[in-house]
Amino acid sequence: MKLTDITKIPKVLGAGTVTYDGFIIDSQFTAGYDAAKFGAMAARIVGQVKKTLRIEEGAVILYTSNVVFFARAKPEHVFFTICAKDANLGLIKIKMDKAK
Amino acid sequence: MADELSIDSKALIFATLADVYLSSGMLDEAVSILKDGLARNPNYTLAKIILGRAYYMKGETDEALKLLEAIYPEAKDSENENLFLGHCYKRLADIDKARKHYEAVLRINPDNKDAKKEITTLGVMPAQVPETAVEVKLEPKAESVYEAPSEIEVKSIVDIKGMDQAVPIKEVVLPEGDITAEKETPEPDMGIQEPILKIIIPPPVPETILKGEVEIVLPTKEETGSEVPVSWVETKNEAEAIQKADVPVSGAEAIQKAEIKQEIDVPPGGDEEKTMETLIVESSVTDEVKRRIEALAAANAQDAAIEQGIEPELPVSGAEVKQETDVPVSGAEVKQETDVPVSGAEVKQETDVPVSGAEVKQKTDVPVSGAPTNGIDLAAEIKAEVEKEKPRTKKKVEPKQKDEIPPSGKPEPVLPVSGAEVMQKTDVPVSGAEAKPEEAAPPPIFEEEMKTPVPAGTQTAATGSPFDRLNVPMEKLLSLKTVNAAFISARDGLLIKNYAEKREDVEEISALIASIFNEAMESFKFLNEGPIEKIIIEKSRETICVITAGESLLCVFTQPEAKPGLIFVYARKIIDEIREVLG
Repeated sequence: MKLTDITKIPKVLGAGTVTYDGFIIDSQFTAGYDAAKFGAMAARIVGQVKKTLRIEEGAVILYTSNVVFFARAKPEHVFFTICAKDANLGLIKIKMDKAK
Repeated sequence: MADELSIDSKALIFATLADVYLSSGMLDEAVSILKDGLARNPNYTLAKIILGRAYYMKGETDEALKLLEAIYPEAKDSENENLFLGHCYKRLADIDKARKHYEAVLRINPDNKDAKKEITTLGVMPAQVPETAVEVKLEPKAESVYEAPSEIEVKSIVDIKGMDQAVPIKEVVLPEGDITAEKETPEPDMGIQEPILKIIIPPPVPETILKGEVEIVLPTKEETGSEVPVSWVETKNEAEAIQKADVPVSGAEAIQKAEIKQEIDVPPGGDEEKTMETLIVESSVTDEVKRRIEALAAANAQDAAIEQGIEPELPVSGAEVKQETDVPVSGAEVKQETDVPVSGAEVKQETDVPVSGAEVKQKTDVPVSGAPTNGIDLAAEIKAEVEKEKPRTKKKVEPKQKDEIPPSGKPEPVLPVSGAEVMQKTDVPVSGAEAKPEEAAPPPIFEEEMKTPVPAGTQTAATGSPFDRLNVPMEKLLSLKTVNAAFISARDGLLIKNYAEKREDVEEISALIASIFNEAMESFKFLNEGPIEKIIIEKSRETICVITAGESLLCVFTQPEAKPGLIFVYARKIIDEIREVLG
């Protein structure tokens, strides 16, 4: 799956893949959003979840007052997406789940 | 000291770097680095000025203006602050404010070329133009069939009343030889680099030669009260006649007239008070221009009507105002309204808050007899009112004792029936002055009521745990097939209430969830994306939904196929209850 499949969804602010040590593999973000920062945060949170809950694969969805953050743990990397709070979260989640 | 230097050094570096980015046109990078830097050093004014500049350069004028205005009190002596505020206001066509800031720049640094240039530009804008009288008269050549120009370029700016922004009119490019132009005074240098508006005129239609007479009316500075002289444009448009004609009509019939009258300030030493500038342009007028001109003419007519209407009607309107204001302020009514709450009886009635219900009547009766102004009538009225209130207050108190006892045992004890209760619950409208004594109820009586054993004892015995009120909504949530368990924990990981008694690892999971939550909170704090409201953690065998409820976390364990939307709907009620119970 391409990143554009996610980023073309309305109100998606960006998507990318990041290694577990926080380095961006690929990303596509709208202006004003720093892919490196969100990637690093995705790696940090997913790493923490994996370590804490002792899981190999899983997903984290965080709702803040401004944005919704999706991160899906893969064996080698983390796939993450940022979208506005009023985006179609269900559609994004489906796309995220289908991403390999 | 070393730390301070380090902070300053970092601040300087990021601001300098941002400046370099801006100079290189890397606007997003500059904004990003400035935002980061300001997150670390929120009081670094220079960085804010640079950020404002970055926003301005990105075209986000409103954002730039907001930022620069916010720091203006502390940066009003900054050259760049004033310069970019000037730029912002100029872009927003607020010429006065722009000029003010450019002048401030020149006060700080008289050699600032940008400010000088801008001041010059603003100085010759139409706001200042009326000093020079311009009379341009363009007439078509006799017997010549006019070929309308395909395009008229308008270069200077004239602020026309009713238009959203300044409309540039400097130069009308017309075919040579068709129109003669006379100018008595040299054309002022408008200082405008680019035309803002272009009037596109379609090519002429054969045999339907159009003629437009345009007069631009500029009021004098005294008339408008503002520095911008042009205030309206009048139009006469006869295009319909041409459109309706089936056969080619003669030139005279097919003339389309658009008149724009322009009155400008009298030049020093001029003979007439106003000079009229008439442009007679044979041309077809685009719909856009016609529309604007018609709108402006309508606005002008309205203004004229207002100007004519208000002045002669002044005495009439004054009388009307007086008449209107007299109605509610009539002496009789005022007396009637003000006397009631200020009477001794009323005040006494309200100040007797702590007195027991039995005493209410006696206490209110006493001052009624001595009511200063309204005498016996008012006393009787109040007495009757108090009598009327007594059963009503009883009705209110009884359910409070039996049904409305909060099960939480929170510090909101239900008082036994008392005078204080009676007075507080009465529906008698209480004025602001009257309400004060109620609030200042003497504490001893309150304490006495607190000691009364019956209601207090019944409360404790009946309510039990404050979390009992969560039972119903929690049962509903747990009744969902896909929900396995739920618990409430504090943000530090300590378990508050467990609704998953079959699970043995709840305490451990509570601690782990809190750990993840706090980690995520820290991360999002760094990103400035607001506090976390919910987290969904999807594992292979189950999903954990964590929802913040004040300082607590509601954790719901569901099967992977659970519908998170449904979970959140059910959880919302629980969250509200948790917030009430735990704060």
